[in-house]
Amino acid sequence: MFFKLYRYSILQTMRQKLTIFWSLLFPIIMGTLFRVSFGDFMNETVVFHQIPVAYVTEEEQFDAFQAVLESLEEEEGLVELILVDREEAEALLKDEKVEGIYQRAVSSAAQNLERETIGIEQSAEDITLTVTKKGINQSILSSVLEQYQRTFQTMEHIAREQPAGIEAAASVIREQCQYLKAGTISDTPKGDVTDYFYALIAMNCLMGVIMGLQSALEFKANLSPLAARRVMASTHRFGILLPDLAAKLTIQFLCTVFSVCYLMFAMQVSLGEKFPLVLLTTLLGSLVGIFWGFFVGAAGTYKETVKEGICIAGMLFSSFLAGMMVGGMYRFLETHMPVVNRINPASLISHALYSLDIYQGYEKYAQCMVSLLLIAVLLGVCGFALVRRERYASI
Amino acid sequence: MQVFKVFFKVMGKKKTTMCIYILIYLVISVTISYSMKEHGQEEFSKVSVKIAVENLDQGELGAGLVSYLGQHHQLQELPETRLALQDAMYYQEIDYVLAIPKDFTEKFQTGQQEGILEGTMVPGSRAASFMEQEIQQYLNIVSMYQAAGMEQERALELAAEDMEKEVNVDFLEKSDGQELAGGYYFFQYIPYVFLVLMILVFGSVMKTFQDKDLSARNKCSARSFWEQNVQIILGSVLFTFGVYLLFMGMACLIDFSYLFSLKGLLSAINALVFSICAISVAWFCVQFVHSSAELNVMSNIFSLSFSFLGGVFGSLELMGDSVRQIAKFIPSYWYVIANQEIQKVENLAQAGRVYQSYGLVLVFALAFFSAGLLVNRMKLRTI
Amino acid sequence: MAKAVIEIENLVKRYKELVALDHLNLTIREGEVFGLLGPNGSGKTTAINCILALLHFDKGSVKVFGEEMQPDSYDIKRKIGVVLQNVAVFEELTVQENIDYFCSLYVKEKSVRRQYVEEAISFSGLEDFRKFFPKKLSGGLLRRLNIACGIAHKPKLIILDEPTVAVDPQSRNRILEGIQKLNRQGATIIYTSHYMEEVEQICSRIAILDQGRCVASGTKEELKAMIKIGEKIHLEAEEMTSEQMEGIRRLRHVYQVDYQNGMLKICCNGGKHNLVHILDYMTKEEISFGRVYAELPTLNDVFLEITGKQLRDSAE
Repeated sequence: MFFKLYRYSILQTMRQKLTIFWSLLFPIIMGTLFRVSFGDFMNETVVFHQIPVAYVTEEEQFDAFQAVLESLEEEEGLVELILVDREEAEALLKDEKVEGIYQRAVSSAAQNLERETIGIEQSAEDITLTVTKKGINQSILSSVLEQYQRTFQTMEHIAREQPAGIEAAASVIREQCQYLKAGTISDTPKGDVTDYFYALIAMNCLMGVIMGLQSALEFKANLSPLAARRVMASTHRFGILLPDLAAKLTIQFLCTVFSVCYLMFAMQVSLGEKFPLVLLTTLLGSLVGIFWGFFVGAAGTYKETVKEGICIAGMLFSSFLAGMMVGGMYRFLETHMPVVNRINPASLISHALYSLDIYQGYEKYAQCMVSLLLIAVLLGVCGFALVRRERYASI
Repeated sequence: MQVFKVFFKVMGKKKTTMCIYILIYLVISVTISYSMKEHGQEEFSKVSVKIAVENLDQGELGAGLVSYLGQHHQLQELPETRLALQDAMYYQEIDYVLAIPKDFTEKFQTGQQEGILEGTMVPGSRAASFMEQEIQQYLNIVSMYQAAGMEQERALELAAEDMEKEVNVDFLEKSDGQELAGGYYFFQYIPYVFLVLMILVFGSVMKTFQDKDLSARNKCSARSFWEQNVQIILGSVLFTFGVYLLFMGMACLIDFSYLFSLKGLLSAINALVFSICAISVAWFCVQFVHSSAELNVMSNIFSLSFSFLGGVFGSLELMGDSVRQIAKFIPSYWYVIANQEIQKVENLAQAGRVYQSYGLVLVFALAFFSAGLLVNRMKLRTI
Repeated sequence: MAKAVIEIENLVKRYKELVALDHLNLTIREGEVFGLLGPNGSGKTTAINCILALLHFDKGSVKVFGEEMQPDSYDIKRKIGVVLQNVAVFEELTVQENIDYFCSLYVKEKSVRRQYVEEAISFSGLEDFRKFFPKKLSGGLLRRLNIACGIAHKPKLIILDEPTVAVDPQSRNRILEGIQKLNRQGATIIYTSHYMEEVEQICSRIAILDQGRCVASGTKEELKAMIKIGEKIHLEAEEMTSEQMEGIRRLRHVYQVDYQNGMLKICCNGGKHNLVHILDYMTKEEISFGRVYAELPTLNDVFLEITGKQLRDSAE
């Protein structure tokens, strides 16, 4: 009996094209969109396109900073150097054709004399950076200049105190040693934007609200004639309900798995290596989604459209709080309202996946999963309690 | 004005659903504006990071590094167990963990410097990324001094001094350097919110009018297509304006002074122009839907894709060049550009690019409206 | 006397201020085709929902097959087939799948169920539409599917709540014949409708409901015997003076005469040769007349006389 009804529920749900679209294709569209929008930023922590910068100098001699910039342009592709005069540079900056203006002021004779004494031709002090906004590119330009100025000062100190070691010091610059290696808390490298994908998977799981809602509408006799007919049958009510819920959970889970596989293999998004646990997380997440929809559907006799609105709005809001639309939302809430992160289903799913990826142990993951399980049980029990009532005041 | 009245009666029947959506999105707007203001500050200025250091080094170099870091960041106690450490990072109590090995000074001096330190960062912390660069640079400077033959103590002293050097960044206009107002962030996310609301609410009312039997019945009436529809258009305009005023009211509460400044006025006009575009997009979407579930799908697809591609959510600077080119065909992109340009405006004469963006958004509004009208007329012919 | 299948005693159901069922008493016996007749809002569907234990009621009792009906009386439910007013099938399942699904809620054995499903399909004339989805069916076919889903498991008691609403005449006849066939096969039928012709055609016993009360019950003959009207005679007459109308009025068994738009309507209470007497009078008075026809009283007449309202025109 259970499998007979389960089979029919699977068939019925699979034939609802819109439900399948909503659960299956929507996350795929969004995942592709993320990938396109964020693109290579996922693999590197710096912006991958060249930052155009204007350089204004009136020096006719060799300019070390210019040489540095040219090297950054040719060897690393970090900047695109444009040599112009100040007026032109300002015009380019206003038109946003360049992100900033480096300008070297003309040095005074006294400054030149001082530098000659210590064997340095130019100063780094007199280079300024002019920008029009505070963004990532401007930070990078500022960082480049800062690094140059500090290194320059270092060389000045060495020239004063250990002039013989200048060449050795210069070779250190050329070597570009990496002193830091990445720590072992995470086994796999993780980019900043992976959080969006975790939130997207969480949203995908919670899309089960639609199916759960439908289950309730087709089960409570005062909500639809179909439900009245089903409830009148000689099979126990939960014998009718449970196969239906199991079928919807199966389909929602399969849709989510498909999306996860699409992200991992087609979109090349790294979601860690503990695939079975990722699947377990999506299963529990889907269960929460289905029970959530079921609970909303079983509560009260509001119109179907109102209940649908509550489900969709709730799911979107939950996903928003997990960082689906705006990055850093989890951190923000952790700082100001951590309780939200402990009870929001999308945050719990997203953070369960994050824990799997980042931490070697499973304690954090288990905490998230237990919370999700509690939420699922609570919603399930409340939903079942609401449909237990077998007679109605009005149909 | 019967059709006009009916339009609002139908909307009134859906008021519960409408209120739910409007409330949710008001909350989202407010939350986003507060969160992004905090987040935005991290991007440019150097923010102090919570760092835990495990210093096993027996030499001076480790201590020197720790001392330097302590001057600029918040040193936290390193948790004893790995589990406690993971907890601390999980709950954002520590942003960065630096492990200095016991033979750090020794290895550094003998030139074995590659990957000598281990740093673990909480992902997503841009501030921690900047700090890593600082550590890298500090050690580089120390290495330079060391290579030049300087005594370690002196090298550390000078390195700390060198690292104090900061770039003086000038802003072309005085206003460029100012902190962005909270109102800026609130207005940044208006496109997403307006698109969702217009498509869902307006769309659900229009779906009623476009019900097959009802529209067939209306077509039999003595009123022309334009006579019937001009009243619906009036109703839509009034509805749009109502939602717009509601959100401007919220903007007032969030940042009163901003809204009544020149920038606030231009932002408010920007939002008004976009609301017209949003209702046109809603009109376009409604031609393709037959049920409220389809409407939900449409609203999410349009609002999220326009918002991501248009730079509402992500930063435009993070996008690739080809994606940016595509983004120019999306109205929310021009809204975002206008929002950014408005922050640089000191007087109305300087707002040329802002007006240009307004114009482009209106062009999109016209395009969506016309496309929707075309589809509507084509559907009429096939019935 | 046949066993009582349904016994309703003093049933009261209120929806806030509105009394939907007002001390309703009904007994339905095995083998009957029992009609529940009444205008919209008379309480027919409410009574059905109370019998099926879908609704709370405020007072009274409902027994089905001799036992109090409860929502978990699954043994009793096995014997009941329900065809509700609104079509209640799955849009996403085909005709055959729908019937199989609902049959499976009652019949566990696969082979038995398969046979029942085939019989239900053939009974409702849906053989050519097995693979069709409900969306593709006409109104009449959809109603037939609705019925098939309700009777596939061969219940002993079948409740049909206005099954022929918005159905074409061909399908309607088919449905009514099918119901009579089910009854011949041993099922007790409860049939609710506000179409008196259907109820008159197939029901062995009828109860007329109005404002939640049973205002009359019995066989059609018993009901018609309750009212004054024995016969109604219609004549086309060109001109009638008031004296002539009074003259007809004074004829034996005539108790009401109306003349409107060239049509003379004469109501007689009983008597055998009323038409002959009237025609004699017309001839004697040299009143020219055209078409003549006589009709027996209908249930509408019964309802009209008892309640003062038309069956179909009552407001809700």
